[in-house]
Amino acid sequence: MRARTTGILLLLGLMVPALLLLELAWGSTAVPFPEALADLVHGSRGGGISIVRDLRLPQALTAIIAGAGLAAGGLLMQTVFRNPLAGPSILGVSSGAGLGVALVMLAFPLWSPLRLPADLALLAAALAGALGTLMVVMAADRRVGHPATLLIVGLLLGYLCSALVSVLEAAGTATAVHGFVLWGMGSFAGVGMDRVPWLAVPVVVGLVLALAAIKPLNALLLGEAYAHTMGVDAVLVRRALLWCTGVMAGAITAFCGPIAFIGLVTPHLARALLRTSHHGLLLPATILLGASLAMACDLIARIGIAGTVLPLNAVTSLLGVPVVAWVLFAGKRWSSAA
Amino acid sequence: MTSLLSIDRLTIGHRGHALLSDATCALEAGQMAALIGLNGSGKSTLLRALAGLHPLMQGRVLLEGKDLGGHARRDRAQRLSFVLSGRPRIGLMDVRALVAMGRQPWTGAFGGLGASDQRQVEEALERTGLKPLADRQFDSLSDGEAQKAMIALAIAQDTPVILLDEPTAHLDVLNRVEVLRLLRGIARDQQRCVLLSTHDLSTALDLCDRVLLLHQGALWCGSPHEARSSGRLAAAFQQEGLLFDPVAGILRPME
Repeated sequence: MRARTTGILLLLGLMVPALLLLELAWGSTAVPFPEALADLVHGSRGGGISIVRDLRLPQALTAIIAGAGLAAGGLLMQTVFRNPLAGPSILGVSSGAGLGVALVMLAFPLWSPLRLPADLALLAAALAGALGTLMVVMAADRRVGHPATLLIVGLLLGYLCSALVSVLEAAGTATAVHGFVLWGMGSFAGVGMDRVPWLAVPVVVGLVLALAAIKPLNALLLGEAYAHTMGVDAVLVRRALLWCTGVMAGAITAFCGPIAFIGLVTPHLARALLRTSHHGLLLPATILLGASLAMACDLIARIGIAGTVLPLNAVTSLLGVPVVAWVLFAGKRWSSAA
Repeated sequence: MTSLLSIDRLTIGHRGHALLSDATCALEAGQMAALIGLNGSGKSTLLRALAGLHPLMQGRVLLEGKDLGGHARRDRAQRLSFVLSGRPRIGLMDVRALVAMGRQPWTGAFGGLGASDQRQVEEALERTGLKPLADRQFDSLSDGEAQKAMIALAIAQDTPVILLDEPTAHLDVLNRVEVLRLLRGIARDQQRCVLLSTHDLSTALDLCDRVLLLHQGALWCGSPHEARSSGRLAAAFQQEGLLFDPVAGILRPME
């Protein structure tokens, strides 16, 4: 490994704890680093809610998990579809998960006889929505194959899901709709410490499976036929990796809302930094960078403008759009992911 | 002795419509064979079937005497490599990394290269004359260089059987001969079986040991000499207004 590559990976690795410390210390109530650390270890001295341990720590952990999962999911989708513009928020996966969430949040009375724990219902519905849209996209990819057509299919699925969501919104109660709209803005703050495992388990499983698939992912860079001649069961691997993506993106969307652009943009930044498409380097770098980007966006949203907290999706989109424009127009060299 | 690659009463086609029926042929180590036929005669489909990428309608494909489907995926990949037609679109990968992908069937769970894998990669680069370009990006190569890089990948895969779909298409005459010489050298020196499809009749007849002729749903196999003298080539390629020259192995417009 060249010195430059090692240096970049090391830097990305250090950015995660650095931003984590900032997340713990920085916010509307300033807590100096030493106090923040003491708070983290001992909890609040007054016995009430500890800002650092009970609010900022779960928010930071959520940002790390969500950022890592979305970024890895984006890279998997870009490689599996051989399409540089693939990503969970582009191909309708987030919308599908959103539809699932809407069914739970807005049509709740219909579900209440089932007596499912709310988190489980939310998670299951979002996963079903995410995987459902992915199956449709996969089937469309088999039939049409053309990268641009695939993006249009994703767009159509997105429209379909939001149409169904607005039907649910029209029928829902004002409180439920308000809650759903807030969810739609995206936030890492809504996941308390007790719910972090609900998010962490599916994402960590997805990340581990993705890391285990580095070798077949590289083979897929050459296309499905070449992967086959290398001994890879390309059909099975592509399907398994999409399931991984669906599980990660579904869980993240369920708890954090449809976070835009992190999944699409992070792999491109990692490629531009490392100048490789080898997944042995690219996947770890994308995971680290995704975690860092999510925390950075969360910090920017938290600092806000003139005392107002910004919607997270506004921040990720404001940062993401220029990168996508750069991929489309200037960054041709980096964009040919496949 | 069992043949490296043989087909036995093979029928293949698309959606129930047979493209090639009841074909039987065997290829031995040390031979380079040319698969020729007009566009749409089924050359690519046959090659894909031999690589396990296209379903068989009837008959069998035998790799080292064993049914192709009976090999485990990894075993098959250690015995048969396939260079597809055209060049794959691959960004951000240098030539050495691309050629190293050929080692995938031989490496462990994460694809790390051992000393012998690295040696094989360097040998493949050496053999194809790509050593000076090893650090260049694959997508910056010319068509001829890219074709050689894909062949180097197959060489690094170190398989007894190498299939190539039109490896000389899009190449100038110099590169065409160079690529075919390179492939014949691999077949002869390393006792491999090389089967390539081509439209370049005269070079194929000059440089190949065997000819596989696809014509009207039937496969004929024989030596280049037989192909020329038996009139089969003429029958396959002669069209209205064209005359087949059996000595040169080329078609001339009729005066």
